[in-house]
Amino acid sequence: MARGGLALTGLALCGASGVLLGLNRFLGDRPVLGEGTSGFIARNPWFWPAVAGLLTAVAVLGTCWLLIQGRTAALRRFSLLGGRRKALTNEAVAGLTREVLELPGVHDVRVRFTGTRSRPRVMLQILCHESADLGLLLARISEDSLVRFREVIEMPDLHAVLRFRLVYQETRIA
Amino acid sequence: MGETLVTELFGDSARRREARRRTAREFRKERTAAESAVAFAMAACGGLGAGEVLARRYGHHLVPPAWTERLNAELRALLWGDPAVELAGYLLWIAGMALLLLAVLPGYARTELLRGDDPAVSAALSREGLRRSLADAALGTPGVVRARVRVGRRITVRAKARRGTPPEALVPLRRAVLARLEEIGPQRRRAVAVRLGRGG
Repeated sequence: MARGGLALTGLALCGASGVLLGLNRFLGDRPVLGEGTSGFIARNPWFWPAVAGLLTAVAVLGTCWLLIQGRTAALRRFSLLGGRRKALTNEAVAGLTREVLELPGVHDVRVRFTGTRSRPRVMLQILCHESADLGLLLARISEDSLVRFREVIEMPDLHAVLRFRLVYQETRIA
Repeated sequence: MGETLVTELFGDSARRREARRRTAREFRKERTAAESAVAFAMAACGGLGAGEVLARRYGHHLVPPAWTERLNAELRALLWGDPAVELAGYLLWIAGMALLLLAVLPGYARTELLRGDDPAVSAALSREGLRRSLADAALGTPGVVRARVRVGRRITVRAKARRGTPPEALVPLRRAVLARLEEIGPQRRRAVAVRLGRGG
C-alpha cells in the first residue's frame, strides 16, 4: 500500500503540474483569482462544503497512512507477543542462536523475533568468514534450524529474513 | 509417473518464483521517510484546510484573517502567465517525478538477493560481501597474489600471479571464482570475466 500511495501522490502532483503549466500557457493574461472565479464561488453554495469534504478526505487518508506506516514499522522492529508465548519465543530464539553459531564459518549471529502471532517474522544477522559456504549455511538454516524453530514456537507461517555479513581478513598472504 | 514429475517440476518452479518474489519484496528499501513526510503533509494540510473552511462557516478562524486576506490579494494580483506560476508548475512536476521514482525503484542496489527454494525464507548478502568473497576465492588459487573484484552489470576479476606462474593458472582461477559464485547463489545471474596478469 505504502509504495502505491507514493506513486499515486506522485501521479497527482504530476497531473497538477500539467494543469498549472497548461493554465500558465493558455490563460496567461487572466488573474489566478479573478472576478469569474469569485462569481462562480458566490453562485454555487455547494462549493465550500465540497472543498471541506475533499480536504477532510485528504486528511483522513493521510492520517490512516501515517497509522499504517507506524504499525508496519513497529511490526518489523518489535515483537507484539506477551506472556507465556513471549517467554517461549525468547527461549526458542536463544536455542536458534546457539544452533546457528555452531555452523561452519559463522562468527556471530543476532536473532530477533518481530511481528505478531498471525504475522510473525524472525530476522537473523549472520556474521561469517569470507570463505564460508553461504549456500550451505542457507540450506542448513532453512531446512534444519528454522524448521525446528517454527515447531517449537508453534508458528508454521513464520517468515525468516537472513542477512549475511562477512568478516574480512584485512591482510592476506597468498 | 510422468504426470507427477511434471507437477513436481512446475510446483518447484512456482515455489522458486514465489521465493524470489518474496525476497525481492523483503529487501526492497523502505521508503519510510518519504511516505511519512507525504502522509503527514496530507493530514496536516487537509486537516488545516478543512478546519479553516468549517471554522469560517461559523464565523471563526483557524488561520489568522490577515494571512488569508493577504493570500487573496496576492492571488488577485497574480496572473496565470506569471513566471512564478510556471516555476510552481515545474516544481510540482519535479516533486511528482521524485515520488514516482521512489515508489518504482527497488532501492536495494547495495544488496545481493540470494536464490532459495523456500518462500518462507528470504536471504541477502551485501554487494561488498559478494565482492570480498569472490576475491577470497581468487586468492585461494595457487600462484595468485592479488585479486580485485568489481561487481556491476557483470563481475570482473582482475588477479595478479607470482612470476613464473604459467598462463594455464587462469583455468583454476576461473573455476574457483565460478564455484564460489555458485555456492553463494545470488539471484541475479551475471557474466563473469576473469583476467590474470603476471609479475606480482
